[in-house]
Amino acid sequence: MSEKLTFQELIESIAEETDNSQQFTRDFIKDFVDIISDELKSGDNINIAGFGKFKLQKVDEREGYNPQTEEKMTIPAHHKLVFKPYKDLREVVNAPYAHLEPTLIEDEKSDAEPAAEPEQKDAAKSDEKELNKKQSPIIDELESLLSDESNEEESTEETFDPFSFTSGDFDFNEEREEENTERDDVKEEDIVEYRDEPAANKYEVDEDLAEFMGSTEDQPENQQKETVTEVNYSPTSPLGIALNDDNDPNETGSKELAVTSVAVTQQPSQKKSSSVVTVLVTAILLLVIAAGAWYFSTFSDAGLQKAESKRLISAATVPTKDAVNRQAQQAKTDNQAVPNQTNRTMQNGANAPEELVIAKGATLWSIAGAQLGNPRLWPWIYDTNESIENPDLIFAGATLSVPRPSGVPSGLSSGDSIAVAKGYAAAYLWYKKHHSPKAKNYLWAAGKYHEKIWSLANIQIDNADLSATGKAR
Amino acid sequence: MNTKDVVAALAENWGMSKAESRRLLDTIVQTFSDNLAKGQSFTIPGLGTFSTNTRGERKSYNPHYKQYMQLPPKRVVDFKPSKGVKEELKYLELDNE
Repeated sequence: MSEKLTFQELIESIAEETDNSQQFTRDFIKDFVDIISDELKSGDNINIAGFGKFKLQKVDEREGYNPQTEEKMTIPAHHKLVFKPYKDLREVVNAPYAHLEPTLIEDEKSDAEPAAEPEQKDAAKSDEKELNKKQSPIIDELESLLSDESNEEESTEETFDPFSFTSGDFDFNEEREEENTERDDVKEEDIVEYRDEPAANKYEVDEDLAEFMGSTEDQPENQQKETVTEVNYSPTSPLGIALNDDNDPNETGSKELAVTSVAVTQQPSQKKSSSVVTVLVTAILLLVIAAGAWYFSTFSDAGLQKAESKRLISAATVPTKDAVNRQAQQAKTDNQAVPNQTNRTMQNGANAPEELVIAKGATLWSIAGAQLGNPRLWPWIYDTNESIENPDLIFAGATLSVPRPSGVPSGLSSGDSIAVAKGYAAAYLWYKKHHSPKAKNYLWAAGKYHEKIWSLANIQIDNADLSATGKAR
Repeated sequence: MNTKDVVAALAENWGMSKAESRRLLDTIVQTFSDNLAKGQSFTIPGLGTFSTNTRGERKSYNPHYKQYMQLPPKRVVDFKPSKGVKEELKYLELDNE
């Protein structure tokens, strides 16, 4: 809902802010508008920095019809005035929703049937709910659940054909195959953390799985894996499984996988007791989960985001993986994955400032160059450390906290840029306080990092300095 | 024409320094965007009405990755030119383009 502000109110607030009369402000804006419209009439665009662009857009002749008389008519080609907001304006206007990010609708990746959409939406929603739940799958629970599941599946085995999957378009299958051997190692490691199973059993399972992987088609397997992990964690009761199987066509894929795995594992161990079967099935599914976790944590760097299942899996496996995933996601949005940074953040937590002991001979400039990749970012460190009073004086042996850029080294994110600007503003204040003539240079630099720093930072700025920076710009 | 040119033209029209007219213009533009950020709409006579619209969340399809994405809601700026300026510009020098 947008409230309407009258022009008079607008004039009043501007006049008050600029200490001018309302009449003058009104005339000034009118002149501004005249300049815009004159310029548009001469066919030029108007770009107002930090605001937007006014431009004339050509509209081609087209057929239209008059809804009142229902007559067809031709709308002649004409021009229309459009306003295209610039990024600054778009960002402030979208601020209430800025924290939201697009999410992947997992189930619809290979299934483009519009009829199935509402159901899948529900599935996505239920996934979200499950995410909110605490996921602490206890092995016993899982086993009992799985035994139920396998019983159920054995009875319905004939109706499902595990190989009937239409092979979707998975461009990344080849990659996965190459990674198969590696993945086995990871699986074992992960399993060890969660299970106290005898090692012999585990290896048996691995062999079985390998057989199974070899025999199944690779392409549907991928999809199946993802859904399987979801099924395992989402319902904590057998009832949940029954529901899912009934309602969601996509989840049947997971069931089919479970069926396949049961079938495969049963062939070599048909005569074993059913408890062994249960253990094997549990082990296989855990392997699949671990493989999925590993797969997602590495693969997301390469480009595809699987936000939901990724979070789901990583939450269930290793806590630190969550951080890696999030970082990877962030890196993805910046279009550059930086492996080093990923590792560092994994150790330190996301964007936590790094503690650093000042070496002899070091300067803020040199530290910024070494730690942040750009010596000109030194005011950021200065502003982060309240212990430094004089930006020209730091003491060897003292501890500094060095902020960590949230984006990629080549460019600052807007938040970081504002932080740097604030640093420069802080430097400006200090030099100003000590009557240094170079103070205004820092104000100018602050303006470089954020254009409206003087309106954002709550600081007193000398008007003379401001106009000097205005000239400089 | 960019901000610099507008500032220069305004400074000349009003007999003030460019720095001064820039500061005025910056304040005006800042007031505009502050009000838009608050979701308030306003009309500039002779130019048009600025307002904000909230687009609901929607689903999109990335044909390259064959993925569906759920896009979050978004608030955007909407500008509707005033009738006067709209008509003036409508059939302007169509041949030039």
